[in-house]
Amino acid sequence: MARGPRVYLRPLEESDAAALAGFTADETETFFLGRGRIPASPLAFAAWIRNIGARQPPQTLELAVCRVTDDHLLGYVGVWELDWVHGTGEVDIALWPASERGRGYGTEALRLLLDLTFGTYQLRALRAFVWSANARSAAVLTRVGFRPAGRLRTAVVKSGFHLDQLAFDMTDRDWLSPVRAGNTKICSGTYQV
Amino acid sequence: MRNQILAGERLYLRPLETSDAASLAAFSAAETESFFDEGRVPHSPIALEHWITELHRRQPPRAIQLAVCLREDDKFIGMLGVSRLDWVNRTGESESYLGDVAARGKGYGPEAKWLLLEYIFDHLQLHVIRSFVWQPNWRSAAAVRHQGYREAGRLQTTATKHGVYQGEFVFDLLRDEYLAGRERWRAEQAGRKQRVTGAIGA
Repeated sequence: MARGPRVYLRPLEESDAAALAGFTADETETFFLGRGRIPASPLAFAAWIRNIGARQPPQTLELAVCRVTDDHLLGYVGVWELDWVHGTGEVDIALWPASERGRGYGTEALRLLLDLTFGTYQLRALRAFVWSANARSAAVLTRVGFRPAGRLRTAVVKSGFHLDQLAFDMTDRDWLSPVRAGNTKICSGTYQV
Repeated sequence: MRNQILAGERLYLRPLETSDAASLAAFSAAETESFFDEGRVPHSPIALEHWITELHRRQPPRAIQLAVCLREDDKFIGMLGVSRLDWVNRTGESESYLGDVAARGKGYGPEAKWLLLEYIFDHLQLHVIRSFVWQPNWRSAAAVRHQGYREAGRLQTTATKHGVYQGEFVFDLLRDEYLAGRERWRAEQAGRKQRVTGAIGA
């Protein structure tokens, strides 16, 4: 559906469920990732993937992130709570394993998603929420052009700690503006670096 | 009162019923305020009945919506609830809608909202609640501020009306702040009653 230099996005398939459950079970960065202790079985992931396609127009757009060189599944990126009237939604992204993080795959996948949602699906604004301890996700969002929009207090509890949630948002103008710093791209479904 | 969950002086909250769907559709059709962002999406009795049925299908629920009814005659005047329930982190998003136009401006909204907050914090045991208010909806923004919600941020563009995109205020409210706000509101109500009684006595 969208292809970058190192990763591409495709629809999630039911056969991805086992890999996603395995990724979740092997997660090492459990402190700042949500739902790390809720069982995520292959069956639960398969049902989730099936449901994505069951509703038309979809309320959720979730795409597999795969490596170009070997088609290896790295995770998923998407928009949920899609509002087709107002053109809004909430971005989420998950990449595994932890050793693959910090290599720019997330940034590239997110830029592909933004190009798809703003350029093809004509959404007007996206928001994202990140736990305050998850500095890496906050940095990725900022890098691709999301703007800090606020801070919700004690939104999550982890190991007895209450963590805040950082809010971010981005409009289509932010993304499609050719002068936007850091977003060197074309708007035809893929971007160039 | 029928199937009451919580009762105040003039109102009570009960679970939504499929028979409320027709009233909700009628409220939507008769809406006079222009700042509701979904005012032009068709709200048919059939669609709303389906929505109410679906609310009760999932356990534990992801959203709880309660009907607001008058104590004196059981009249259904609106609904409020909590959505995006996160049972692990004890959070959710509060929503309120006084659909019956004739019931607005009579203090029912605050009374219903304090009942909802009691339900959220004392019954569901959530520890923080958030609220998203569309910028043109100044009445709701003022109400949640008065109830003690703190402005946590502002999203730039969340909905359009007549071709104009506007943002959304983000608010949050901790349990301690709710308790302080409720005491403040009760004191205000007591003061008001005292003034009324005094005026009658004089």
